[in-house]
Amino acid sequence: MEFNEIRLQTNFNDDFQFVYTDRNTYQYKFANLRWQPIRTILSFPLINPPTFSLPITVPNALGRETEY
Amino acid sequence: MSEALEIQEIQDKFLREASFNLTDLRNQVQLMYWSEQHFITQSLIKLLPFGEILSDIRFYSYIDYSLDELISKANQTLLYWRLSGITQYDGTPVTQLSLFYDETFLWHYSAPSYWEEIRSQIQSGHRVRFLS
Repeated sequence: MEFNEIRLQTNFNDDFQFVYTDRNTYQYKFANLRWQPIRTILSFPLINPPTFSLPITVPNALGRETEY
Repeated sequence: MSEALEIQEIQDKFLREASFNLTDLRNQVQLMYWSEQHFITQSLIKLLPFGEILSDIRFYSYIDYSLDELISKANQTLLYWRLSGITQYDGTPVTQLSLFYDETFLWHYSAPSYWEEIRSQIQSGHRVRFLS
């Protein structure tokens, strides 16, 4: 299971927009029968992180249609 | 009657009596997956917080108390796949399926609905997460 985080980025209008970054990944290990966190811990600030991903701006019109 | 037929009959009977409550993933348009089989149990999909904006409390509550139950529900789905004889393209039994939340729904529906709450949480120093 992979969880990403939403953060805030100042935009040109001096307002905030959502971006996302960082992730926590949990894998179930059958060897020890436990969920094992495999974390990418970034010490970036919650606001204006230097590295981030932008959310999609246009709805995904492809996606499943490419499969079916 | 051959042993194989007997086993098949037992499997069919078990499947009927177990009455797995199934979800057809083709109807779950918010989810993306790549598979030729389309069914998982409802109880499993209900445990996956796709589309939820997860506050710190909700996130750690989920991690601490729900992940183990996921194994049980995933095993039910695996049992259904196995008893139904669902196979992969190479004829081997299906053992896993990767599900992804279509970001269209997250960024165009879920996140805008909670814009003020998310911003307030982040500005207060709290992390806001989502299952991808």
